[in-house]
Amino acid sequence: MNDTANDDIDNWTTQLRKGLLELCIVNVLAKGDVYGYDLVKQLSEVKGLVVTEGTIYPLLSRLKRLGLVTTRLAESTSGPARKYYTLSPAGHRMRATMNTYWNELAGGVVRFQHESEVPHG
Amino acid sequence: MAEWTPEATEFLDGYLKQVRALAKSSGEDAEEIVSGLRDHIATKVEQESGSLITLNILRQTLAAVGSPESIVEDSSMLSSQNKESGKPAPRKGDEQVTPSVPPPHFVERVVVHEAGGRSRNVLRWVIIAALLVVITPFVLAMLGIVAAIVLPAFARSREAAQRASCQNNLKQIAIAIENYTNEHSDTRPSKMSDLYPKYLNDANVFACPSGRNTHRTLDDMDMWSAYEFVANGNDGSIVREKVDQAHMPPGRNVLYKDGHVAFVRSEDVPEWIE
Repeated sequence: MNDTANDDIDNWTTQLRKGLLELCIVNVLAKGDVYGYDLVKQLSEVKGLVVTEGTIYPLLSRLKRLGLVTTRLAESTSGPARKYYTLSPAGHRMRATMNTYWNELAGGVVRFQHESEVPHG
Repeated sequence: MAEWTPEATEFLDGYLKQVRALAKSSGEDAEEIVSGLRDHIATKVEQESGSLITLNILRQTLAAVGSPESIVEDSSMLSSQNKESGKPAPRKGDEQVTPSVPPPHFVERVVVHEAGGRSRNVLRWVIIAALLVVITPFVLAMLGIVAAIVLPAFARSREAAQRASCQNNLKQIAIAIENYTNEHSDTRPSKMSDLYPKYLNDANVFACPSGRNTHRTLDDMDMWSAYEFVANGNDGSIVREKVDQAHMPPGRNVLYKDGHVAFVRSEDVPEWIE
């Protein structure tokens, strides 16, 4: 692929990660309180989802500003005090909406993928 | 708790300062982002690197966390709802950029010279100037109104207190007159200096607090005294204030034969005024 095509793929992956990272964050937080470092470690298990670890903090800040996430500081026995992130009731409602939308969208995409893999002729 | 070398601490502070500046210029909640990042970096470096955090260890950690530019730019691309990416997405190489620590004045200069930051600063000052132009006359007008209400009330209460003090002077003079009369075969004194100091030893009692005359010597007490005897008090008055006192409303305190003191307004003053 030439440079233009590479740039296009990069843009496409960036656009795809847009929203998906938020979807993953709200789903991780739905399991319970998570502190930032642990959240990043869990998200990093999804290849290509997190480019840089610091990226999620501006996103968390935005989710907090929107009232979807709350934070609290808790003492840690193994280091500095940790900031825990919690999904608010509004965050839970948004997660449900996002999951529904994602499931419908992913189902349609997968169907197209399967159809395109049917051998011709 | 791990121990940080001073170089590592300083480096982290510079890194977070750069993140804060970039986040602010992007309109993000800089303090929230920096707080989360500081927590993340401290936890990561202490969990992955042991008890002594040196500058090299911190640099390796920050390489994974990302440069300040990549954190803020990447997140703004991810969180933008309408912006179609005109810029290339972060490449793998970007992740390995080791953040440098610019001096504080450099960070501030970068922020100020960014087009968005400058226009926001200009807008902020324009709004402040506009508010000052609008609010200042309003505040001054309000102060004027408050002063117009409060000052007369204050002056009235002060005058009321001075008038009461003046009346109290006359009551003391009444007692002194009584004592003088007893010792002089029922002959009343003819001037205030007859009472001082034997029958009334406080010279201040002969001055009205509202009075204008501040030149007081004991030799010319009858001149400066605020009070004078009434020669022919047909209304029963024996001592009155001289006409030049400064009560408001205009008027004078008067001592009567029966010992009571009353304030008489100028318009009600009987004919004994010259």
